[in-house]
Amino acid sequence: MATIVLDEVTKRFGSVTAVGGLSLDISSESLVAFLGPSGCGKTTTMNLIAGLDRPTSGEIYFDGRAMSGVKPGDRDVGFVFQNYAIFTHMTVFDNLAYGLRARRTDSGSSLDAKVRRMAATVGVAAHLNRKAGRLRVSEMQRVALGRSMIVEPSVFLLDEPLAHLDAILRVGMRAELRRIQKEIGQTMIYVTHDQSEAMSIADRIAVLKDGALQQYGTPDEIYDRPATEYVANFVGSVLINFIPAHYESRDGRGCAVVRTPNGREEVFDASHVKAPAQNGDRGPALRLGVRPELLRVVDPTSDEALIVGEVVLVELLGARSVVHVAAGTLALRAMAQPEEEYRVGDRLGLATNADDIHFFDAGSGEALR
Amino acid sequence: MRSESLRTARKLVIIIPLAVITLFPLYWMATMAFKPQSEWSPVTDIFWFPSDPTLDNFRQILGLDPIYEYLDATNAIKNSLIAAVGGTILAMTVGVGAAYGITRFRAGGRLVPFQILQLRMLPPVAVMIPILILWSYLHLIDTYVGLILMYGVVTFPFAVWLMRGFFLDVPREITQAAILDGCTHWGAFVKVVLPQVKGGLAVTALFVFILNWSDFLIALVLSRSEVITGPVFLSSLQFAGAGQLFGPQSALALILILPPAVFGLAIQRYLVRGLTFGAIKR
Repeated sequence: MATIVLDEVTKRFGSVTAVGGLSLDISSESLVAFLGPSGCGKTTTMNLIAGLDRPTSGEIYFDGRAMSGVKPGDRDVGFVFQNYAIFTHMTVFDNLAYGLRARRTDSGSSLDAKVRRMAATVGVAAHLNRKAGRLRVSEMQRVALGRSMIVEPSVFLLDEPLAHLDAILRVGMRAELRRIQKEIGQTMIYVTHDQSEAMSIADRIAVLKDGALQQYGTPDEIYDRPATEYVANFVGSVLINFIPAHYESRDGRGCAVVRTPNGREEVFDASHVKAPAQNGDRGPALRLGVRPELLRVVDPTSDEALIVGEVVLVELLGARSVVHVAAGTLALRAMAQPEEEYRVGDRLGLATNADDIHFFDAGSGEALR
Repeated sequence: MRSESLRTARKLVIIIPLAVITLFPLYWMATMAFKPQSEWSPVTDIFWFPSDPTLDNFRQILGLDPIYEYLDATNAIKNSLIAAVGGTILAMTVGVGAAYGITRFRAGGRLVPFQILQLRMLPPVAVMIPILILWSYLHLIDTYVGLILMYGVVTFPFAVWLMRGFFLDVPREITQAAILDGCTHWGAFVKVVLPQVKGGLAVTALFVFILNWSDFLIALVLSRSEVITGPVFLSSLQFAGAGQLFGPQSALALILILPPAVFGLAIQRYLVRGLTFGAIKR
């Protein structure tokens, strides 16, 4: 219902830059996840969008309208906080009704009906007359969700809303949120540090680090074409493998040369990417990124084996398992199929397709394309 | 089991004597209040318990005995109530506002909160002479306003620092949620934050009230004849012929204990948490 545009938004607290020159375009009725570790500026950005804080510079637009000078209460923004901001001295009913009463949009039977419907949606219908402070944590968070949803704001901001819920409830609520968002057609921004949550729920993901945007794209783009090493590292259920290499020109073509721990030299065609910057006197260095799920386990004697190493740990993840392989100073992870069984101490080879390799500049961490 | 009862016994050995020592003056005062003059007068034998209990002391103090009109303390009790309640309202109004500003908006930076505390670095009596001079310039001597102002100034640092602890316990998000629902900062403070700290408000008000109510020195210096407070009046209950009037003094002291005690009982359920000064994090 509202397009949100952030234009070079910066927020400083004293000498600390919480958000630095952030520009984002959030299309109407989409669900965008802000993904990053704590302290990356996610919450600050949300506060700026909600109007709880003023940007040091830059401007935020809702549907093309500049928001500086518009009071938080007039922005038609709903906000669910990580610390379930509910009014513990009021009943659940009064909590849910608060926004409607404050806006004077509903009263009497229509207010009553809306509150009951919302209580059923978030699953607190049985507790309507209880003091909110006496609820369990998960119920409090659901009251907080309902409190914000009931006024059907055109922009809905959620700051780690599910962080305090247990795993089963979290998955259920996630799906529920997605359904409600599609139903009402709100523009929703969802802050999380959990990449799997962001991947499963969002239309687009903005990966943030130290108050700066690392990448903004669909979950597929983020996963398949990470813009930086940081993004590659942050996204994916099993940590991506990084293999140091150096860049050389051979026969007029750019190549990434990996010296494997067993003394072999493995050369990858890197002519399709731009050369990394000079890095010290050892020549331009790069890092190859390979997702564990795209690293195959092969016979250590075969030609395919890029790296040969020894299994140091097998982690079971249900259907599949993660095999940790040590090869010299390299520690690599590969996904094994359920029918494959490995034991600690096994020697095996790891192989991958050239297409599945991401090239990163070892100095700047940026993807080379 | 044996070691358990041994530990209890050891505790009691320490607690009982301490309790006796602390409570004895109270016991002495309470019994004294019901003794006739022959029993409280210092020249007679010691009576551990009034052998001939009487309400005469109370009748004299409450002005019900025309012969002892000069012992009538009702006016002093009234003065005490007005000054202490007024001082408490002043300290709480300014203190609660200041505490909220300091905790939520970092008003005054780092320095001002501590400067407020600095008001408590000297005992108030150390500045009483300059205050006396200032107050007489302002014609505030022997007036309610003069006492209320001074009580407010002396106790408001306590109000600020106690309330600061309680406000820190209120999550910032609660105010933000109210603001997003269209409240002003002021509306969020009144409708959402204050109800959350009502226990803290009660405890802080009690604490401030007790300080004001039990003050002796400030009232002694700042009053002449009109606005005499209870404790000042109590100390004046002595005469050249009779010496200390222990009986009426005890009766008045017993009456003066009542308001804080009643207030304290009324807010008892907040007291345990409140007396940790809001230091518990949930």
